[in-house]
Order: sequence, then C-alpha cells, then structure tokens
Amino acid sequence: MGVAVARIAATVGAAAALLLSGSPALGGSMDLEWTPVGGDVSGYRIYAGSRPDALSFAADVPNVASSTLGNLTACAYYYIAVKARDARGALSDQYSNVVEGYPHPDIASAAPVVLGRGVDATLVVTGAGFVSGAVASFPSPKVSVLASRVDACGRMSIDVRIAKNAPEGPLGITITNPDGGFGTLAAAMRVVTEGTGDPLDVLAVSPAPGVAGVDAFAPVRLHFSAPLDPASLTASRFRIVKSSGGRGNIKLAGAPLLDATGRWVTLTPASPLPAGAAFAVVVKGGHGGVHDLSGNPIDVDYVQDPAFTTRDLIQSIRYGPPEQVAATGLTLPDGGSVPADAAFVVRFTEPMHPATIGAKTFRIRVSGKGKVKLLEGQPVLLEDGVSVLMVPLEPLDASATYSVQIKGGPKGAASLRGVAMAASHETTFTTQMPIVGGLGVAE
Amino acid sequence: MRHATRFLGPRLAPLAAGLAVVLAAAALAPAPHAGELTLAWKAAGPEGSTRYRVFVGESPGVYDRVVEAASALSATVTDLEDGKLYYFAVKALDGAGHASPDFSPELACMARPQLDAVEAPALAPGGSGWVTLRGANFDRDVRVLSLDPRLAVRATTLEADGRLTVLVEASVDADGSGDPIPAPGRETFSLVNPCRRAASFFAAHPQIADVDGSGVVDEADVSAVSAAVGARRGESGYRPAADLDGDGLVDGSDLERTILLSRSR
Repeated sequence: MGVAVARIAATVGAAAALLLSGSPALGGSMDLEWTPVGGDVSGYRIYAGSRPDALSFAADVPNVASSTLGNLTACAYYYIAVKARDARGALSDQYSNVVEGYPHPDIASAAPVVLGRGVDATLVVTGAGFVSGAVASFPSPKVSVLASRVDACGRMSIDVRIAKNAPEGPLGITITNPDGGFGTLAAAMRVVTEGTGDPLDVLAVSPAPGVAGVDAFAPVRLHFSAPLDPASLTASRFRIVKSSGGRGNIKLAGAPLLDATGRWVTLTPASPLPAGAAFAVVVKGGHGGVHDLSGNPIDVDYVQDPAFTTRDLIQSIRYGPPEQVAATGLTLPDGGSVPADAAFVVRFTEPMHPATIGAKTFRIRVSGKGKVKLLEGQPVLLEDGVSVLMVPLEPLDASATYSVQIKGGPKGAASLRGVAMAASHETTFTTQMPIVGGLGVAE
Repeated sequence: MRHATRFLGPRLAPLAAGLAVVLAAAALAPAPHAGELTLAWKAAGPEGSTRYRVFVGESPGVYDRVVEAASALSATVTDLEDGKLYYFAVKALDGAGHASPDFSPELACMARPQLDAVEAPALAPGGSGWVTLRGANFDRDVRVLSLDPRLAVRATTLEADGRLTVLVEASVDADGSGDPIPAPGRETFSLVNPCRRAASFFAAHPQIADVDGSGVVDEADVSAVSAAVGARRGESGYRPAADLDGDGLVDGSDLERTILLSRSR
C-alpha cells in the first residue's frame, strides 16, 4: 500500500496527505484517501497515469476526503495524485504526493462452493485484478493455503486443506496482491462435515438396468445424488464394460461430460456399441473415486446390474423355397427342421453395408464338415437392404445337421451406420425327412 | 368298364338264372371278417436307417391308429372292419426319430376283398355265364381277375345286396375234346379293390389335374382325361396322369374332378 504526504498548492492553503486504501470495492478500481486542506476548497481533481510524470485528468470529486477511482484496467500499474479546487474552480498549482499500485483484486466466484472437513481441495477463483504473486487467505485458521497460482488476471487456483475440526458454515476468501491491495468475497464457500450429509450415490443410469434392445448409438448417462467435483471426472473412473460376448472396456470418445447441474454425466463411446451384447456402466467409488463437491465419494464401485443389452443386428433367419423365401419364408429357430431344398434369408434390423456381405461373413456349414456351396453370386444383399439371400447350389442332404453362420466382430457383417455384431451368430438346423411318395396297395 | 358293366348286367341276367348253382358251405352263414390290407410305398431315405410309420383313420386326415413298419417298404394293416372305408398315410423317420414334416398323399381304401363263396355253372368251351361271388369288402370298382387261363372275366356288377355278379367267358375248345370246363371256384378268381386319393389331396394339390403338364388345368386337360375314360391300368389307353384318384381306372369321377379344377383356376 503506497502512502505519501502531499504538498498542496498555496492557493488552497493546507497540505493534504494522499493514500491508497485497501478496502474491497469493484474490480478495476482503486480506493483513495487524503487529508483535506483548509480554506476555500470546493473539491478535488484526481489525476492518474502509467508514469508518475505523465498524469492526466481522471475524475472530479466534491469536498470529500476519500473516493474510489474506477474504470481502471485490471492488473495495470497506476500512479495517482490529486489537486484541490477552490470555489472559483481554480486548481492548486501542485499535485499532492503521488501514490502508486494496482487496482485491487475483485473476486466474482470460487468453486467448489462446498468443502468437506478433512479434505484437500483445489479452489478455482474467478474475478479480476489477480496480479502475479497474489495470495489467498481465509478468516479461519483451520483452512490453510497449500499453494496459490495466478493462472490469469481473472483466475487463480488455490490448493487448500480443510482441517477436520474446521468450523462448519460459510467461508470467505481474500486475495491480496503483492502491493497490498486486496479483495474479499464473504461466504464464497461453505464448510460441511464430510460423511454427515447424504452420501454420493448413482440415482439413475440410462439405458436403465436390464433394458434390452438398446440402440448402438444410445447415449450413456448417469444421474448422481449431488453435484460432482469436476476434477474427479476422469475417463479412468467411468467405464462401460462388456458383460457378455467377451470382456473388456468400451473405449470412450473423451472424458466424461458433466452438465450444468453437475449431477448428470454423459459417456460417449468412441464407436457404436456392438449389437446383441450386454454392457454395464461402472463408476469407481471409495478413496480415489468419483466424489461430489464436498469430497464425498461413492462408498464402493457402482456396477450397473443387471446390465443393459444392445439390439441384435440379426432380426431373424428365414427359410423356404428359393423364389419365395424373401417374402414368405418361415422363421428358423435354433435347432429347427427345414426341407432339404430350402433356401435361407438372414434379415437384419437395419440396412447393411454391402461391403460386409460375402462368402467370408455368411455361410452354411454341414455339421463337422465344410461349407455348403451356394448359387453363384451369393450371399447377396437384396434390394430392401436388410435381407441377405443364400440359396444352396444343390439340395441339402435329408436328415442331416447344418448351421447358418454369420461372422461378427470387427471383420464381420456390419450395418451402414457401422454397427457390428458383438459375436458371430450361428443357427443350427436339421433337414427334414422327405415326404413319403408312391403310397399304394401291394398287389 | 363301369358303364359297360351296368349295361350288360340286366341284359344277360336271364342267362344266369338257368345255370346250376354251387354254393360254398361257408356262404350259407357268412361270418364277419377281420379285414386287412397291405400297403406299399417308395423309399424316402437310406435303406436300413429309415423307418416308416403307417397312419390309419376312419375320416380324411384324422388318424387313430399307427402301425410301425420298421424299415420295410410295405406293411399289412389288420383288424379292418368289413365294408368300411379307411384312410391311410405314411411318414418316414430317420435314425434320430425326426419324421417327415407332412404325411404322404392320403389313400382311401377298403380292406382286401374277401371271397367266401362262388356260385357258378359249368361252362362249355366258347360259352359264357354269370357267376355269383359272395364275400366282403367288394368295392364298387373291384377288379375281378381270372386265374384260370381258360376263363376270362368280361363284366362285373356289384349288386345292391353286396354280391358280385361276374360274366365269365370260356375259351374255345383248345384240346378238341369237347369236355365242359369245370365250374369255377374260389381259387379261380382274384379280387383287387382300388384305392383312391382322398379329397383332401386334391385340395392341397390342384395341379394334379394338369394332365398335359402345361402349367395350368384347362380345357386341354379335360379333353385328355375324357379321351382316356374307361381305360384301366395296364391297358393301352390308360394314362396315369388322367387317373386322378389313382384307383386304376380313368372314369367319370376323374373327368368330373378335372372339369371342376379347370373352372376354379
């Protein structure tokens, strides 16, 4: 805080002492006090500048002993002086003493707004006038500052430790610039007792547990019981895991996204979820897990149970006469029985990508033997885009076991949207005995 | 030929009245029979591993008896009631018990004809006479064959009381002796009932009447069946395709069914 004694012009008589006051006010401003001069004084004129020898008019004030000079550039260094003015408007010949400094800090907000006792936290303070070297302080000695960093003129990061016996209730914060100018925001935060409030919990998950037929592009969202600490939203703490069709995590497109309420988290897979498989959302709990703004974590890892299941890419496999199977084929159940001269259509739930339809992805196999030869050019994707036709080159053997196989996984059949099957599909069937012919009377 | 038989019967009946009659003792008090019928079919799978099952019922498509035929291609169904029409169908089964998804085309048949007594005159060479056959399970289209090479069956009539009257013609005197030919007996004749495809078969297979294989049942098929009417299996004019009901005789019922199917297309 710069303090100087002014010399006041002889025309107004008395000397004045000008000083900067440190009381908080709006950002981009400086608070001034001076010793009034005696005599015929009607007011004062304030001068400011970036150099002590280059002051210019800043404001006229009445016959007072203090004033706030606003409209200053935050974090800029100023030199300030005053002159006295008599009733006729004449100014003293000389300036008062020149004081110097920064506009004092102005705190707009601090986050998180709730601090749990016994936890370490990083506060993000926003506002204006935070000069390099500025420090934070708290009215309670139970809240200690571990480190302060000025990220920008309008932002500071402050590592704090809340003692276990810190008093509960509102907590103010003061930022003091190196020149002594300071700003305070009362009740900027609140100290609470960790564990005495509602524990953090997952209230809902979308897709809901046990739901089947989920679209491969459906958003995965979690609803928490309290606003989360954004710093705890890391990809390693939120996972989508396969519950069937193999193990492993689904790669996410990025970090989990927190909405404005702080309670909803959205997870975005890097690619569509594989079709026909079960998935569960897992959130890391306990120490080191996701926690709310008070530092409360989930007691234990949250694991969605039962898992949700994505819609199968295969709607049905049908069989029937080759020329009719696409339109009127019957559904082939696993283990079903079909005529030996049947053809097959695999019907999908969405348009398929032609490049994924071929002999390597669709085939009919004889149990324990090789592939069944299909008509040339098959399998073929029909015009409807969702049906793949397979007609055996020759009728199948009667009363034998076959299977229709569709390859899944990254190299398997996939839709135009890029949805692949989680695993390969196989439907087994047996060919029927022929209908007996030539029945007659033995003569 | 059915129509010819009806024509000849009344005209020659007075001749039969003067013939000597031989009655078999059993014919005086005919006892009810436990009829039987032997069915045969084509193989539907590998020999040995394919089994067959015969279904028997008294209404079309409703079967209340099953006869296991093992791996044979024929089976004899016994305990059939005299004079009753039965419906038969067959299914094939593989070694695992998987059966044909559907029945074979159904046949409607009576039990094998049972000949109990023959009333016949002695026939002179080159002469003819009416022979009365008594027994059970005589279909209206029963086929009567002579096992004696000197005798030929020229006409058959099923009388209202259930007996068969058969016009038998003796061949000319082959050995020149002029001796009368002994009166025919039960051992002289062999009787064969026709089996017919059941009506349900035609509903499921209307194309059966496409006799000329044109893809449609039309006037040309009606003409083809009409031309074959009267022909029996084994005769030169017989066309299997025209014998719609499969009874071995192309007759009015085949023609009538062809006309109906040609109109319903």
